[in-house]
This record gives sequence, C-alpha cells and structure tokens, in this order.
Amino acid sequence: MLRIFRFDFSNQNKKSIKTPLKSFFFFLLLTSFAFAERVGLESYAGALDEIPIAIVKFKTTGTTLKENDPSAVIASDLSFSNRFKVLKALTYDSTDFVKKGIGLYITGEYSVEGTNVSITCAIHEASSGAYLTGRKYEGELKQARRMAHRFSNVVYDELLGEDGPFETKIVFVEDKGSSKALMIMDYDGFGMKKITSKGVVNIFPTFADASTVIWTSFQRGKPDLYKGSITSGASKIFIYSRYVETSPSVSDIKGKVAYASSRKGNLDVYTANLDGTEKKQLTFSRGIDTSPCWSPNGYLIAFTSDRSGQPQIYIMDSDGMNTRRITFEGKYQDSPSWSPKGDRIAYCSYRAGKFDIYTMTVDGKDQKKITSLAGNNEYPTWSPDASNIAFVNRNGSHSDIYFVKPDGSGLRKVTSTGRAKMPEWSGF
Amino acid sequence: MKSLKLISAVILLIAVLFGTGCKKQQSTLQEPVVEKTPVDTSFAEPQSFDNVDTSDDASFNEAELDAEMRRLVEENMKPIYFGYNSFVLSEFEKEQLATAGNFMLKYPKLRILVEGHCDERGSSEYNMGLGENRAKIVKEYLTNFGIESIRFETTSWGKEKPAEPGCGDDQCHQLNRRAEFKVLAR
Repeated sequence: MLRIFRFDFSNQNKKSIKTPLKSFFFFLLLTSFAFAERVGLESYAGALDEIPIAIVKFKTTGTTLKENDPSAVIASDLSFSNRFKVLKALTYDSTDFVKKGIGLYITGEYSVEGTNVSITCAIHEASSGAYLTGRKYEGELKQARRMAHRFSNVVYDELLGEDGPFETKIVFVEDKGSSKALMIMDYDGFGMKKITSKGVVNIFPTFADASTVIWTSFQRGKPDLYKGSITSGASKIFIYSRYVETSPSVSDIKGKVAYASSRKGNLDVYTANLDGTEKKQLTFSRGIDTSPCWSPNGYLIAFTSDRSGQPQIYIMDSDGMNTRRITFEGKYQDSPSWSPKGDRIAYCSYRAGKFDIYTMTVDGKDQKKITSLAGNNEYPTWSPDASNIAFVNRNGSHSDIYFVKPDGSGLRKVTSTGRAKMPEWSGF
Repeated sequence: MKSLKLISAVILLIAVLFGTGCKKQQSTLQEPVVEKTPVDTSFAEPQSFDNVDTSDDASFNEAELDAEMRRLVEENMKPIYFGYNSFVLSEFEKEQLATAGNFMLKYPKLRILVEGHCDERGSSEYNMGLGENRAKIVKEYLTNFGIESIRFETTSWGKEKPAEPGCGDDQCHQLNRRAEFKVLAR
C-alpha cells in the first residue's frame, strides 16, 4: 500500500517537508546505502553503486528555457554526482524503465510569464508511476537554474540522506597578467562573476563561511590576508605584517584559519581565530612550510614542507604536535586538499616531467593518478560531496578549471576563458 | 704541514686582496658616468632612518624617481638571477650585488624593497616561500656588504609576476627566477 505525500505548493523551502521516503518498502535497497553512508561504513564515494534514475523532459506551455531547461539542469546535476546513473527520457514508459532497472523517475513542468518562472518537479516510483514527493518553485526567471539545483538537492537529500552539492559555489582567480581578480561561479560553471580586483594581484581564495572569502592580496605591495563579502566585494585587511602572509585555509568546525606566515623567519604554518586573534605558530622548521589544509573534522592539518630538501606533504595535529611526513615518492609533492569524507587527500605531484593530480589515503598509501591531460594539472579541490575534484589544467599560457571524479573518470571542462586558476569549493 | 697551511693562507689572502682590488677598479670605472649628469642629489644626502615605519602597518610603495635617478638605479641594481628551485647566489650575481652595494653606499637615502620572484613551475603556495628566500639572501648579502639592515624590506611575489609569462624552455624560465630592486617611497 503506497502512501502519497502531497506537496504544499506555497512552500519553497527545501528543508520544510521531509517525506519519509526511506520507509517505503521498495526503498529498502536504497536505504541500506543511505544508512551505510550515515554511519560511515562506506567512506569512499567513488566505490558506491549508482542509483538508476530517469529524468523525463519537463513540459511547458509557453516560452522554452533552452540551456536553463530545468530537466536538463537536474540531469546534469545528478550525473555530476557519482551516486546516480541518469537516463534522459522524453516520456514516462514504465515497461522501458523497469526493463532498464530504473526504479525512480522525475517529471515536471514549468511556465514562463514575463520575467517570472514557476517550476514544478516530482519524484515518482517507476513501476506504478506513484507520486513520492515534489516541490514547486516560483520566482524570477534568472533564478530558474537555482530552482532546478534546489530540486536536485531535494532528490539527493531524500534518496541519500545527505546534503547535495548543487547550490554550492566555487571561488577562483582570473589571471589578467599584471592583475588577478577574484571570481565566483556556481558549481557547474554558470553565473560567473567578479568579486574584486582593485587592479592588484589577488590569489588563494578560500571560503570562511557561505558569504565570506579570505584570500591573499598585494594591495600594500606585499602579500597580506584579506577578508571580504562574495556579494558586495567589500573587503578589509585581515592578517597582515611587513612579512609574507599567505595561503589561508578555514576550518568552520574549529572556527579557525590556518595560513603561512614568515614573521619568524621563512614561511611557517600558523592558525588564528576568524577575527584574526590568537595567532599561534604551529611549525618551526628551517624549511618552507606552507599550503595548510584542514581535515574535515578539524583535528589535523596537512601542509607542504621542504624541510627534507624538496617539497613533500606532511600532517600534524591542529595544535602543531605529532608531525609526520606522508609522501616520499617524486621530487615535488604539493597542494594537499583533504576530501570532505576525510579518508583521502588529493595533491599535486611532479612525475615524468609534469605535474598531475593524485589522491592517497591519509597515511600516504594507495596513491592513484587521476589526471592525464597534456600540460600541468594543479590545484585540486574537492566538491563538498567528494564526488568530484576540481583542478586547473595549465597548458602553455592557457589555464582552465576542470572536474574529474576521484577514480579518474568523468573529465569535464568547466571554464573556457583560458585564465582561470586556484579554484576553491565552498562547503556551504 | 703547518708551514704549508700558512703559505696557502698567505696566497689566499693575496688572492682576496687582489680580487677586491680588481673590483674597486671596476667600480671606479663607472663613477665618471655617475657624476657626469646632474641627478636628484637628495638621495646622496646623509640620512637617518629613525622615522621609518617599522610597524606592521607599513605599506611598500615605490618612490617616484626622476628619469636620471631611475636610469642609475636600473644600471647599478640589476635583477639577481637564480638556479631552478634554488636561492644560492652565483659568483657572477655576487659581483652584481657588490655593484648594487656600492651604489647604495653612495646614495645613503635609498631604501630598497627586494622582491623575490620564481618561474612558473610548481605551486604558487610553495613559490611564495621560495621567492622570499631569494629576496632574503640578497638582503643578507648586502647587509654583510655593509648596508644597514633598516634600508631593506623584503617580500615575495612567488610566481605571480613573471618577467616572461608562458615560458616553454629553461632559457626563458631562467629570466623569471630573480630578485628585483624597487626604491621605496620615503
């Protein structure tokens, strides 16, 4: 006996209605995935099976939304994640769906009126066509993609019990030669806009919270840390000295920023509160210690150090104790980025005459090369659901952001300006 | 053995004296050029640096120089170049630094920002540290040469301001691994 939950059409909040889908008998199989994920039995997203789901092209009566077509956006979202196997369909065909092993499908419709749009989306059970849950979104036309992303998050939350990454943002740097601007875009490369430039070099952006970035800027003719709003671009100097202050990384759980400073000689790793107080030096080596990166639980910090003679990756407790070296292969290993699931670190390694992105376990084992594009592949950063790694491919004077899945599949070019560098994914 | 050591020490001493003698001759050869044209003499006045802002609030702004002074700075304080992933000074670069040091002795009001730069290989983060090491070794050489430490600031641009962007070979990369001198505004 199916229970049907009606969606309150006036409500646009994705968290407001929690349909207990997982209690349905035909969801038993899926439930086991979600449960495993919640208790942390399965921690490497790449190893999960994909849920087959069909997306039926949304109906519309009037104006069509070409590249912003909600069903296309949802299909692209769910394909981006490595948790779904997406079939795009023109109509609902229960026989075909069941034959292909598809247990669920998404339908919807939208209508455009002037500068407004309304979108209705629903998840159905494939064999019976039964309605499971749905949402209706109304708003400005320019919000159409956002509405579709929000529904993708609903699907993710309902089926997997996790927050979807489809409304997250990526900050990055646009290299214009003598100046470098901070930019922001939606996770899928759309909605690109400038945060700040001021005609100076701005590098190493990282999110402090959903609306704030911290980065390194040369506004005073030297590198200092600045903090600013992603919407207004208003910024102020954050951590500064007459020395080099650079490479910020924020742990929102700890409420701290880790960064590299040379105020006591050459670059060492420090931490401070997000208001700049309680600066604490964590490393004291005679080499260069930089590129700090927090573990998702805030207990550990990975960083790069050349104390052995060449740049290699090290890990220490967040108070600076128990430092251990985790990479030994190669002459140059750098730019550690910790998976949001906690189990792996992506990094950049110089082997066979070029830089490529690798991943490894937290103790440096099971190293896997995941990029092979010609040129140098650098600056890895994970999507918040750990399903993808964004990185920069630099070939000659061109540099663009790509996505790749942690198993090396699903390569996708995201920017095409030829000037994009240093991506950093928000976890918000 | 002892006498052998003594002899070699004497030879070394002579060599050093002879060597510095050569350098002095070289720098005196340049002097007529310096004095032939009228320059902004204010940089040549004796200077106390008591009022230099040594707090963290200090900005590193470049001084506006007249054309002649700029020419002299460019001629005497040439960029110092380094090997791959290295901040070691070659013998040639030490000679360049001796010229720069003599110039700074002659113009005691000059305060200098030493900027370290790197080639475009490797991460931006690590290169920020490497560039700084290059700037610092240059400052160290010049303070050992006899220039007061207060007359220097050091910073790093890492690989963010290459002299030759988009290099494909090492001849080109070489031009980016450098320390540059900027005259600080007073």
